[in-house]
Amino acid sequence: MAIRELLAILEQLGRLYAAGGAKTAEKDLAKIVECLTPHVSEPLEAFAAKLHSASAPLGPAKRKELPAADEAIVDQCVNRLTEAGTDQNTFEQAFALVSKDARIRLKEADAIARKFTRQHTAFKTKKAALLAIRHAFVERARFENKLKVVS
Amino acid sequence: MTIKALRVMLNQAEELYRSAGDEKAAATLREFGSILAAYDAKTVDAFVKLAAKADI
Repeated sequence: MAIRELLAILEQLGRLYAAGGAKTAEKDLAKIVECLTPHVSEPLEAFAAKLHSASAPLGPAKRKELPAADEAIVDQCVNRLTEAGTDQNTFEQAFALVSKDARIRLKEADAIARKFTRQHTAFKTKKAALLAIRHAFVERARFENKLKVVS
Repeated sequence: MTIKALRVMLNQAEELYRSAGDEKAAATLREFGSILAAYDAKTVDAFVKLAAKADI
């Protein structure tokens, strides 16, 4: 069906609404007529397809990729924490270095915490990652103390 | 005016054309109404902008 036929009907309706004093309806119909007029010879289906493609979402916005964790820093920190074993003082020194190191951002803290705690879930904040490291140390130290008591 | 309100108008006009025996005009309005149905929440102005965006 050609838009030409539709335009003729819409223009007729516009005149009817104008005669009836329905100004808003008349104005809005005129806008629709104006929008359709340049395509008077096109089929209505083509108009519908163009409208559909114009209203389709552009796709999900790409998230900005965060830079990858610096593996050298991660390994260095994990080694320092692991070497502390269950010794409280050595761990506190290593932990202080890790938590104060400005090079350690979320990505590095997450990688260190996952390696140290052997967890697979990602940490959403640096604070959560550091807390998990401390909890893992406390658990290991308590476990060793219990073993000592038993033996 | 929203497209939904415009469709209500077009539906009424469709009935008038049908009752007057102009089945072709009624069918044309019905087809146009079904195309517009996807844009019910938009205003006529927003619809016209959308059409312009698609270079229609």
